[in-house]
Amino acid sequence: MKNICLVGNPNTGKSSLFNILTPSHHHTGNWTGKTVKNEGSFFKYKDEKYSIVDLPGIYSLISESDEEIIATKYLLEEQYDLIVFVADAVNLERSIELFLEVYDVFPNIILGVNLIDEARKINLKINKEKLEEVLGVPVIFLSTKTKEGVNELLDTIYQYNNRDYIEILHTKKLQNYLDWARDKIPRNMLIYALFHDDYVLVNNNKRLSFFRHYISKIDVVESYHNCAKNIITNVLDSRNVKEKKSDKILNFLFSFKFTSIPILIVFLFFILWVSISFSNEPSNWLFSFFLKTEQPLIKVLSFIPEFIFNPLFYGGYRTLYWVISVMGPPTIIFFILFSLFEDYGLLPRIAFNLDYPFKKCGSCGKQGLTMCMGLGCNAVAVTGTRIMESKKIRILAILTNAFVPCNGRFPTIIVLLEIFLASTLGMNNSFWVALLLTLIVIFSIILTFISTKLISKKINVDEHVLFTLELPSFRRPKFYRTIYYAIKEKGIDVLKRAAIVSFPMGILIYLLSVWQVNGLSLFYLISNKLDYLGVLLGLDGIILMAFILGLPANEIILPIMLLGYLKCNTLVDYGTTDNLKMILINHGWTIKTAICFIFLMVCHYPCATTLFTIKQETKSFKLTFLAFILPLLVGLVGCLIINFLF
Amino acid sequence: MIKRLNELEIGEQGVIQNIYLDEMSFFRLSRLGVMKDNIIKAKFNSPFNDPVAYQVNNSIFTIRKQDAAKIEVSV
Repeated sequence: MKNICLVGNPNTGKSSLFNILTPSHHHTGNWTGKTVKNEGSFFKYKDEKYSIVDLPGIYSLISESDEEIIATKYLLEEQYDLIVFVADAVNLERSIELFLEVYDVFPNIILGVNLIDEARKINLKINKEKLEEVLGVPVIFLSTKTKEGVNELLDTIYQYNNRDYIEILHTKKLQNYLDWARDKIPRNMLIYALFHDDYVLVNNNKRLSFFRHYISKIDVVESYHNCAKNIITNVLDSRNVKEKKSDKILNFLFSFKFTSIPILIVFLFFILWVSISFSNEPSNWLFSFFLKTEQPLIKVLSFIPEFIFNPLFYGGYRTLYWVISVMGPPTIIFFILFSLFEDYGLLPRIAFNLDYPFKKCGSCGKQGLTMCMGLGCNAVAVTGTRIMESKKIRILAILTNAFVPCNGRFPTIIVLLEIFLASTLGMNNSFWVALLLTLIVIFSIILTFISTKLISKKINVDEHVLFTLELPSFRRPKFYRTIYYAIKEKGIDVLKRAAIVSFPMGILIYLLSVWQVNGLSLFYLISNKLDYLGVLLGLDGIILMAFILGLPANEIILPIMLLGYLKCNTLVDYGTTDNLKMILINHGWTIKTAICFIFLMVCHYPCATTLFTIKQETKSFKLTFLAFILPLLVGLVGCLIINFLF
Repeated sequence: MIKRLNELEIGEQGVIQNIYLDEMSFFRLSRLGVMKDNIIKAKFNSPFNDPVAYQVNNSIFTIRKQDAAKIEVSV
């Protein structure tokens, strides 16, 4: 088996190529930093088996950001047979600079020039034969969109013979060092050793410290830059390049003072509206389907003793299918739309537009990017904060991320808006529900800004950080492909979470309501104790208990609460909103309760998965605890205020 | 004429001459093509007028005004 790794600048289509070559799929996006960790898989071509690793996009092997270090370490430490370098045809010069850096580490490379279709669109001409000749490696024109060149790439991989390393013409300054170091430092580490101690055996060498002092990173960049420039002038013809008209208009719309922010809000509204209106039908359909399975299941499983069957069925199974049918459709539809907009290249624009307000709060535009990712999933967003260069800003982004309600929290808020606010205010359709939800999201974004500002004062983010982010060209997303994979991926995710979390929690709630102490159920005893606090917050004990038990996943808070109200045994069909409304009103809910509940839904601790990710990313219990407690405190105080003011 | 990068009007372009940023920032921008002798063009403003999007070669990226002020271009 041969080991291949995919290397290249960010956003050149490595992940897309990876998805084409392998049977596995990971989500791609149209922005720098979409892939922040190594992804591996296998594929077979003819009689040969290959393992392939997709490394995060890098600008340089001597960069300092976390995801770039991951890629560099892989290139320096791991064993592999072949590198497929994915270059960006539209930005060939930059790609060649990195290519040369990588070539100095490992010379067995195939250069895939991706996005060749985009280059043709703007009249950019590349001379393939000449490029092959000067670089001394096979060059293949690729388009991961049209799959042009993929077979040629596979053939080239299959027939690849190892090549000898050809010396790169470096600047004098660097050449002096290389001449000296060549027999003292492993060849692939030569440049790296100038800036890091990790692999160098001759550490206390005076000469090395001289070179380290004498040669800066800029010198290295300059050396590769000059070399790349020489190559480029001979192979690239950019005389007739014209800008894509659509890009021009869109760039204007997305950055113009009076259109940019409104457009983003309209997009947000649109996504939410479609998610809400399109999920009603599938929700109802799923629910009635599951309802019909109840009688047959009860009959078939009647041999199981009741004390085992009841918790499994009335607790576990019912919670499971309730979560799947009520929470599943909006989650999946939202995810599809979100992915489409992400593929389109919208996220970096949001970061660009929000940089100024974030700067005023002590952070930078990249936090806007992770904030938007938080709408999809808070845990993913926490991993996404790796794109931030500043440690302190990264902490800011992690601590404040949970203020943005994630995909798992939307459906609950939607249900409550539907059955309470919207109908009470006489706005009983999905348009108004979406509008209210948009306002809630905007409110949560404002909360993010405020909390960022407050925390940044506490942790003194005063270091000067350069904010720079690439604004990729708008690319039309692969519509059906995105939808297909979004449904598959998110669908499996929803089912898995339901099975792992909702099912056991349903059983637990059932048992808590059945087990009795002094004639009172445990559930009743505990929620009774919580009732004092709950009433203080405009809620009740059962709601609080649902929030506590809902720590593993936000989508089970609502079903736990309903099970609590109904004490499990009287569990009737609470599938329709009318029934739900009756249940809630019978248990003393008013509009105020709903508002407090929604507020707490927006502001409470992130789910267990997110907390676990935070612990992994920060390696700090203190920060994880802060990420847990800060939004919760805001939620509790907010509920108190709402309760006492209104 | 030498101008600072932040003084470029939208649509105006210049050739990069001197970069007075700290090494780390210079390094990061250099990877996007901000190098001596390259042509840089001011493309569009953000809604709050800061940062500004610039173009080098065929890539567009953002720089805040405070950082752009440390880059000299000739027009």
